[in-house]
Amino acid sequence: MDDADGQRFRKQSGLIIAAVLLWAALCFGSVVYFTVIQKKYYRQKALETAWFQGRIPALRGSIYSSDGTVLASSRLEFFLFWKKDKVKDAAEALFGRKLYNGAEISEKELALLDPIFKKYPSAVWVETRERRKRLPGIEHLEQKYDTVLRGQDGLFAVMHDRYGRRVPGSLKIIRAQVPGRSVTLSPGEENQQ
Amino acid sequence: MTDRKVILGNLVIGLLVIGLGGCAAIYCARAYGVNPWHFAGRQVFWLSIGIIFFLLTAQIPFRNLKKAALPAAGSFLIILILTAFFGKEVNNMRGWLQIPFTSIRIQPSELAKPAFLLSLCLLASKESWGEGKRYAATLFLTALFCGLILIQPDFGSATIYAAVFPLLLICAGFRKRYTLSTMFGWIPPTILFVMIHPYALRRIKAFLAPSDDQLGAAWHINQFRITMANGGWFGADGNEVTWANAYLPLSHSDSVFATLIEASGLIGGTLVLLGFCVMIILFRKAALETKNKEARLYIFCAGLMLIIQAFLHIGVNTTIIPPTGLPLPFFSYGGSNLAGVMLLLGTACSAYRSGSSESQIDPETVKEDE
Repeated sequence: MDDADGQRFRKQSGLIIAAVLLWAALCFGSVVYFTVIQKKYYRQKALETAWFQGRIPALRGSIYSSDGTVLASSRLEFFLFWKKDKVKDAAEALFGRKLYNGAEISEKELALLDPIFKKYPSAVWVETRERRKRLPGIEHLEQKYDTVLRGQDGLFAVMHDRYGRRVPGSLKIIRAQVPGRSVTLSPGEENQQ
Repeated sequence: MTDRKVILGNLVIGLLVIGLGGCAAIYCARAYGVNPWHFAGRQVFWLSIGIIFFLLTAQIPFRNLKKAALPAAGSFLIILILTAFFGKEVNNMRGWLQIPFTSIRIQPSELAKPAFLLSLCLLASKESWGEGKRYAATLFLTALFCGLILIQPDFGSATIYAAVFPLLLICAGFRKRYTLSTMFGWIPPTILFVMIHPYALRRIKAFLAPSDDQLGAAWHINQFRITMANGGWFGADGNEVTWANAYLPLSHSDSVFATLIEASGLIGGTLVLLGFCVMIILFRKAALETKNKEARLYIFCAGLMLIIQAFLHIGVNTTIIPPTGLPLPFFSYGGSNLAGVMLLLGTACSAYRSGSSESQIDPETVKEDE
């Protein structure tokens, strides 16, 4: 391409390429700025905007009589709700039945299950319910040993989307719950009951 | 195997690789949705259709494409008029036509790009016309396309049509006064558009002060920045694209570059940027190897059209320009966009093949002169 037209084209297209590369450099600078230099600031902003913490109730210790009989015990449960009207296919129905029959799920198992929820959006879990097997007449003993029995609650963080819905797969256990210790009553305490 | 087949084979492999990369980006963008394969799967289908479009167009001799360019551009103008009045409204924009008896929607402004560009190149290279006449004809054609697209209102697409025009004038050897008057000439219609559509003014204000209205007009800008920050050097922890999924508007199309950065970090974003830079350099190289003037102009301007769209999208996603809705070629979800890009590339391939073999003087031009 030796003609004058060709030479002019070579020069002018070269100038345009230079302008395009300059624009690319500007874009690259912006990406570096936000991914590296301002990363902390915007990640903090993200934490404040979207991440919410929740409590994982600690499993309470049990109360035993001096002969080893269980007088009171607690069990931590997460309730899984299955919205039947939103079940899409047979695989989801099977998953739902398995979970429904599986019953007890610990917070660690729940964290493992969380990514599966994104596949089955009809599943919803509630974390702060606690069901107790109560034996009447020992409430004041529970109060007396509460600091020993109650343990320490755990903490989880979960991301909410712009509509306030939980983002499936985003659940993180920040602190696992520490179960409470069990108490065995002395014969004297039993007689007081 | 002939050189022609080798070039075509390499191009198809390259397009497949980039296209599948785009499908992966779309999957990431919807990974936490009800069905993440909904958009990615459709994109694979559109990629296959696009490759077929590319191969078919590349096989047509360039002289036949030149003959068809102006009638095709005219047909698209009629289709754009129909779209403005009877089109389907999506995201506050009447830019789609529903194909009867199907659920398929097409976006004519994306498919019209090859016909528009080739017509523009032919008019700009018409040696038998004076410079003023050539300028008036190309300006008229560009103004028609831009005006009809702005009615929808699709400011992003209109910007691409408008931006490629002065660059084409520079490459076609028009004098500076034509180029400069075109560049300044776009200012009044832009101001008019902003005055008619208050959302455009709100976006410009939010761009200038993004911390003022974080839950309103500056929402997009702040979410783009947080998404990029989540990406860091190599992508979010475990490559989980949670922020783009939960907070970015249209994370699989208009925000796909930010989504890519969250998935693959600065490294991934840089690779995409470098890829587009290499692409435009290759387009220039191919144009310089082409002897035919019209073909040379078309090849380089086709590359420019792709790059303008890509870098405007990237500019919006990296928040260096105010937000506007534009897909990223090859990566964003959208059949019309992908088909338009493939037609553009197929025509460029045909121009390259004919331009490198034909003599610089087009026999048809000689015939006309006689």
